[in-house]
Amino acid sequence: MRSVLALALIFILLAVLGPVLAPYDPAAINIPNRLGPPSADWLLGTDALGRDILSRLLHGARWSLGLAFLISVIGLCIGTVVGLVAAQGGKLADWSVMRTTDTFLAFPELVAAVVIAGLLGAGTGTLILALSVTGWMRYARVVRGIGLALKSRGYVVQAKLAGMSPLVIAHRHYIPAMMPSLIVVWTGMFAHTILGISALGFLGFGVQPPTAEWGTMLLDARIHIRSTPLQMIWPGLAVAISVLAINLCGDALRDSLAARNS
Amino acid sequence: MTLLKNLGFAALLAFSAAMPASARENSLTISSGFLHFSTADVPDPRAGYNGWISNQTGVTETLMGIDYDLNLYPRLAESIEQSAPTTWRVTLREGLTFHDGAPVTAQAVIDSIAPISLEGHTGHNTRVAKLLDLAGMSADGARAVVFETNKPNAAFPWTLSDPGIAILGASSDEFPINATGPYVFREAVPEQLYRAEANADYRLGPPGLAEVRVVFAADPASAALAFEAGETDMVINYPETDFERIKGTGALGFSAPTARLYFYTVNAASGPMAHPLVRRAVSIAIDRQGIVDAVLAGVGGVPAGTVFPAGKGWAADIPVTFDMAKAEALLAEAGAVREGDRWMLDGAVLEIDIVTYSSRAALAPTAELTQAFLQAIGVKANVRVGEYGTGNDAIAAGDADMFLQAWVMTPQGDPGAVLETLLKSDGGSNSGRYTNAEMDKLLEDGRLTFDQDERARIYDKVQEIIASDAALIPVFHVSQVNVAKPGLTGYAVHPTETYWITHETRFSE
Repeated sequence: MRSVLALALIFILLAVLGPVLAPYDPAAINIPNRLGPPSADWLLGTDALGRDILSRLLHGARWSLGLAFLISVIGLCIGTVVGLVAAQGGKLADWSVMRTTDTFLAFPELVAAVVIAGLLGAGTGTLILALSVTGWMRYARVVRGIGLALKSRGYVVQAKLAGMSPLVIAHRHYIPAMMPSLIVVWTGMFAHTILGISALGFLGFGVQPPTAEWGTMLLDARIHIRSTPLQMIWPGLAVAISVLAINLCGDALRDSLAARNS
Repeated sequence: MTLLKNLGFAALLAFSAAMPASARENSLTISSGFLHFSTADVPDPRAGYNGWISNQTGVTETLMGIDYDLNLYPRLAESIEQSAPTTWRVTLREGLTFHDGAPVTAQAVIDSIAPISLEGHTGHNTRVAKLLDLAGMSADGARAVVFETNKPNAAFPWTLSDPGIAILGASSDEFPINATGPYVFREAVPEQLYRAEANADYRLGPPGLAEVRVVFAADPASAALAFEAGETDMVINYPETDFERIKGTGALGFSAPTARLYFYTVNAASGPMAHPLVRRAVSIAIDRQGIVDAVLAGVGGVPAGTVFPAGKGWAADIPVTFDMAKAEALLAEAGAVREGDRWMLDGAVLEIDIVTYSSRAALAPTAELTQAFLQAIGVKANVRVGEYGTGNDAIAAGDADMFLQAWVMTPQGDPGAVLETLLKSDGGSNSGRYTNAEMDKLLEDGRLTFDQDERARIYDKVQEIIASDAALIPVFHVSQVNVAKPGLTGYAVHPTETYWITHETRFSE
């Protein structure tokens, strides 16, 4: 648990402090040093335009992890609101909201995100929109499930009889009860979103040059896979390890909450 | 297209796993990143750009051809003569036959070319019909075709080399594309496969291969992996950075400049690039050799001083210029003022938006390097990578200042057609809205001048204006980098990219 948390903390710190720690400007082109191997000057080597791969990874962490954090929080907010409406509203609201959610779930998330990004054009805004639109449904289902279970609890019924508004009831009773489960779902979605951002970046729908982002770095490096495979390995490892760390964090949180409940 | 390409790549993986690399003895399997033909099972060579793959695989032939130095030569034609400003008489070679054995007659040639202008016909092609601009055709005996054009057109003989003007006979179940080349079309799967078999009765002798297969590769890296795995025998557009290594394994390497030019269309109607001096400053601030070295490993391109590949065909002798100090002087001359690390023009920060597309691997890094070179002289630049149409729309709407594209500048060997569409005031692809009365007149004169020396002088002048006015900004000519299994002979890179396989292409013993 501690080692997992430490690893996740390292990645969070990298996302926050990456630009400070980066030894070089990630966009600084240095053609004579292109495709350089790891060395004392360039610890992870240089890319096809002679840019320091370590610096690009560190700056890219802010984009890959930062955007994933932002998108997963947007999905959390949308999904929570949708789930609460389904749980607190009447049968019609529940039916219509959940069928809408099911409709969204019916599309493979990444394919839907690619279609949206393809229609609107590449860019950071499009990336956020595409992954947010396709990333809220799991929260909605969890929130609705917990909400329906809470709905008949005595203290919730009492609050309704006392004339408290749905917003106040949600704030005081529903959200605190849902928070542990939502955090566990969120960690999974956070990792999932990192993969989504990297996938869209690799497909050419990500952030725009010369900004460094892990998926875009993979895209740029793929042409050199035979001659300098390290170029692909470094951002690939960054994606894999960060996703693994966050997923393990989620598992540990889930186990911890389960132990507390039992 | 990025999505489609990646889906196509997935399909290729599934397809290639089930497909043997060489379905027949003495077969050549080529992988290519561009395998675009119509979705029909039988892609009519006259429609769209279907003619490229049929010409490349030696299935179809044209009346005229372009040689490896971009010179025109009679191919199915024996000769071409002009009898009046709008009248051309083409005499066919003796003894020509289609794949089904039927003779190639003057009437057959007319019947083959006529559908290009017929809307609704599978061979209809607006682009080629416009190039031909025919008023009529008539047969003069069995071997002579008389073409009448609507207007005098000095490019007409060159136009007859367009792969879309393939000479076809009546189709049948056995010969759905009944052409004249050394290979006979057998099957096509859009974005996946094009297959042809040897035509034993070919007029110049039996072809050296039993079968030619072209399979689609989503990108050069996947094509390289398939080649090393022995799934393909040849790669068109191999990754430049791996070229030396793969040659070290014994593979044959082919590299030669082509007429495919990477260039910037400029927004000449609005924004900073409307200033000719700013355009020139931007042009000479670009280190073209640096781009070729960085993006193409020094082997995939040649820095371009002009629109045509140096030393071939119509190229004027215009040197490649890279001079940052002069670029800054030109900016100052244009009225820009340096404030710290940036330039101000007309009261605003001089900022240039570059757009390009992702379907060619070298485009995005070329744009990124251009951005860096401009920033080195204090010009802020932004890069957006999207789809081709998005970039074209952006430059046409004035939402971008430079659009990086890659075009073959002389697909028919003639210098006029592409320059007219890109740079004439009413040019169909003049998305940057460049207007220059002198340029319009020269391009018009070029089309109407039949003396070849005089035409050369006209197009030299056109290229001088392009350079001095930075009407478009050439960056580099692509050197096509191809590799093949040891033993392949009778193959060379063609500068128009439209010729690959001849009857002489074969594997040596």
